[in-house]
Amino acid sequence: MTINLYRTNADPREINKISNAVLINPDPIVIKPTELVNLARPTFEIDYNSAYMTANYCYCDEFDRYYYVLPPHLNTGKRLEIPCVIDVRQSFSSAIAATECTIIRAESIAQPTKIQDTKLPINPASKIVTSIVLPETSHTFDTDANYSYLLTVVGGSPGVGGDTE
Amino acid sequence: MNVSTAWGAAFTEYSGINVRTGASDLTDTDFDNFPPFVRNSFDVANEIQYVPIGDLYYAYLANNDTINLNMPIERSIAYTACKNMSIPINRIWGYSRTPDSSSSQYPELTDPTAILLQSDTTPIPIMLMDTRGIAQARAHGMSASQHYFYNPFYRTSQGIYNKQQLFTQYAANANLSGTEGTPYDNTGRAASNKNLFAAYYRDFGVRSMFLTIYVTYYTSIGSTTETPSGVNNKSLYDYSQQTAEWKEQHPICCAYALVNRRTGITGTYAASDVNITSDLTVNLKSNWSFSSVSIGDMIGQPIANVDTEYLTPALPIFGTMAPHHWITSTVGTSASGGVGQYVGILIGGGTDSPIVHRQGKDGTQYKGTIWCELEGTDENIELIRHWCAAYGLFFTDGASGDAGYSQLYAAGNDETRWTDEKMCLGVIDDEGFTDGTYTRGTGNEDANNFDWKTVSESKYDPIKPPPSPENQYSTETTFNSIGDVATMTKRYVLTGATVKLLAQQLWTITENMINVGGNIDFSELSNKLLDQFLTSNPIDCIVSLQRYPMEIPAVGDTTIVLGKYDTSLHAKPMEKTAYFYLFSGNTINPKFGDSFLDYQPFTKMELYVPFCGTIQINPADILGRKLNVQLVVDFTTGTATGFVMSDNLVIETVNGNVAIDIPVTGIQQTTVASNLYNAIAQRSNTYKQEDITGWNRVSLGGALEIFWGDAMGASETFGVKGKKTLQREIAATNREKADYDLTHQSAPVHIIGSASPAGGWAIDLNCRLLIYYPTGDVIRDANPPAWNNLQLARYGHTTGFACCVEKSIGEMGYGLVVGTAPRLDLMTTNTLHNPATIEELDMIRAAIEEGIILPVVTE
Repeated sequence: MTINLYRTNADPREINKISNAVLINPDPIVIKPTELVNLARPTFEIDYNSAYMTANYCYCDEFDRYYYVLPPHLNTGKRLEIPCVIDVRQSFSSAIAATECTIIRAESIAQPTKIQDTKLPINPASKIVTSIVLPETSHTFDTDANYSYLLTVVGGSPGVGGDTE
Repeated sequence: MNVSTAWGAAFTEYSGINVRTGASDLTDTDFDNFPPFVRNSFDVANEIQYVPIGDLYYAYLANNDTINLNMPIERSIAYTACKNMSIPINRIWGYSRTPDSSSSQYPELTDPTAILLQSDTTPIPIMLMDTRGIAQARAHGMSASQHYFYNPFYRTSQGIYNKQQLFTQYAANANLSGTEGTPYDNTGRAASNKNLFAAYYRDFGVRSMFLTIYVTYYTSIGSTTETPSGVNNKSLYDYSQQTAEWKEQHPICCAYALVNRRTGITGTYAASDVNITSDLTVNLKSNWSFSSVSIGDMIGQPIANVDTEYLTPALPIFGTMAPHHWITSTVGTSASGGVGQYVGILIGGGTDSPIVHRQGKDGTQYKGTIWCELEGTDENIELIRHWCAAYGLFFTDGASGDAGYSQLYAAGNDETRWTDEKMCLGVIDDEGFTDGTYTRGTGNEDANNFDWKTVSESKYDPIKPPPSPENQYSTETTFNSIGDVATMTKRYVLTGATVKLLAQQLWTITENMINVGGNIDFSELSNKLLDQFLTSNPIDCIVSLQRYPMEIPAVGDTTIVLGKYDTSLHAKPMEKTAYFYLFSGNTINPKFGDSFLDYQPFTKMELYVPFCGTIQINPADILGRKLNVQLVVDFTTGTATGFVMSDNLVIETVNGNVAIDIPVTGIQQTTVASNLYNAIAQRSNTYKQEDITGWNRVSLGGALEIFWGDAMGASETFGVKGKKTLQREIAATNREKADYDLTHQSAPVHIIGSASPAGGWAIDLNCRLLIYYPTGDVIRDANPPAWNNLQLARYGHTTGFACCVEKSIGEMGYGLVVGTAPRLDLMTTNTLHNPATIEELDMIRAAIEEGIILPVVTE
């Protein structure tokens, strides 16, 4: 099997870390395991190269999986032990992209939705106050000039004075 | 008899619209608002009544001249059939057979275009009968042989649609006898002589009609129902007419025959009292007169019994709908008129159906059948299907073939025809009601009524009350006009100046009733007060005085009358009891992209309504909608009720006071008079006492005159009585006090009402929606606020925006995606198609729930 060592500054949550990763070894590094290799947490032993110490990511063709590189160990005989842990996001990126689920957060939504977001930095106690005026359409009310008095009285002969009804 | 005049008047009654008597055209608006038969009842000369069935009306006649009343047919399935339906009329014209059926003078009348559905592939065997013309005509004295029929659908060859004028033309009647402008005077006439009195409607309210099916029955039943003879076809309209023949067309009768067709019941039957099968018993009497009908479990059910006047014309009978034989018998053969290809809605038609009475210019009467034409659009055809389906019967789209209309009543009972794709069946629900839906083809087999063999298989029970109607959803609140409230008081609208004058009168009003130069006659004063003010105190006539912050609607001019006393002060009589004032706003738009921040608890809204105060408004109720407030001011109480409306639907109400109560003050006249009377009486007593004790009285007239003059006539001088005693001194003291009391009477004041605060007038007189927006790093501090897009993008990049979307992760496009409950399977593989281990699946699930960042795709 062979491995490739990379240096990447991608967010661990990205599923396409390789696109911007720098390949450190010009040729694939050949690995001949002498012990059991854990698929999810393998340790690869290779000849030391100072450049390899800058690697933080790796790919194993035999497993067709990508791994995070954990702090390496330098052994006797200039052998370099590189412990790794699988990155399922990159390894199964296509499957993940095709996975159906309930999306509860997404950057591409571009702005808050009607779903309440408790993480959004909001100060509900501080308010911006504004108002909208709904005018009376016929501008009827006038407390200063055009007001009226309404007198209600007892009596009045039928048809004499008062209401029009 | 001027029938036409009666019709015109009747139509006014029917429609609720004015029948114009002038020559001006009706406008389109008139017809848009044309609501035939909006009245719930109709009674012309006590001869006819219409029984409302929802929006459907029936008119019944019995024995030609007697109107049969009280038909509780509200459970008719026609209720659902015709409710709120209308027929868009495309083209209608009449047909005249005699005497001049080929006259070029009346081309549109001679074409027997008995067409409703202009499609030769979709014959719908159903008739829509216009009850109006028939019923009206008969209601106005027409005998059965005089089937005057009002046809509202006329069109002139010139396309002149003077619409409503037809009625007035009838009313004029002179035109019917030959003067210019007869309704049929069209082609070939001078322009001044053309038909200017045609009526045309674009839409014919079904509620003025009822839908009736046309059924086949047999006047003679042979040895087997497979080979009946004496086939007749009648519309159930005839049945509803309850004429001499009506019993023949009893739906049970029809159903009986149709059941035979559908179910293949066989047997030998006589002409009377026949038991057909154990399931089907018909008590036949002479001439198919069913005075009682018993079929299976229907025994005892009062259906269509003339004795009980109980009618269920649209009893969901089972069976088939019949084709359109009436066309061939009435109009002619299909070859001659082409009408054999058409089946549809017939207005009039049939030998027993109403015919049009026309009178030409020469006075000759024309009789014919009026047909209307419905545009053969898919939409209209579907509409007709729904109408048919409302009868719960089989009907067909097929003109011929396995599902042709002839198959509806053809012999045999093969299943093929009933499941043909052109064969439809109206759906009857478990309760026996229809709603116009239908099944088709093999779907018919799923219908409840597909295999019905007896009428009793229907669960319809006319005894039961009708089912409760479904909830009627509406998005609009209706406001009612508030009529004048007849009060026992009088209300005047005053100016401020008049109020001041009135106030002055209240202090001096009784002075005018007293003879200042003479003695006070308390009895006379009291009588005058009671006579003029109906009370002892003039001020008691005043109930209230209120000030309103607007010009109260008032008309005219009058003088203020207190009791019966005319103050001669001018004021306006109040016009209305309450008024509506509209505060109109625009659509309330969200400020944060209609996100959760636009709603509670992040954004709060309060609405201030003048005179009523402030109420909380839930933003969810008004966002994206138009906010209005209707303020109803009640001038009787001075209260205001604000109706807060979101898109014309009231969501909140708020109450308050518009008026400011003004206290009214004046002299309490009764107390004044009473006190004076007591004081004078007391003074008189002290004088007498002093006389008794011998006090040498001096003239006190001057003192008396200080107040009311020499009211008691006690100023005569008496001689000196002699010795002074202690009693004299006491008497003198009392007298002095009495003098003082008389001259120092206070005028008691009476107050009506109490002042109410005017603070509500001091602030905004418009409604105002107060909005309290939240703040935060992602919000730009402005008024109104807006997003801080830079901060918002950062937040989305690091945290993602909360959402709830059912998609694949890749479909979200780019950037951070957080999912939950991912659907993973064991064949989740990498690029070499190696399946993930179970441990890796768990890690993938955790990764999705923690977050996946998709690459940004650059084009």
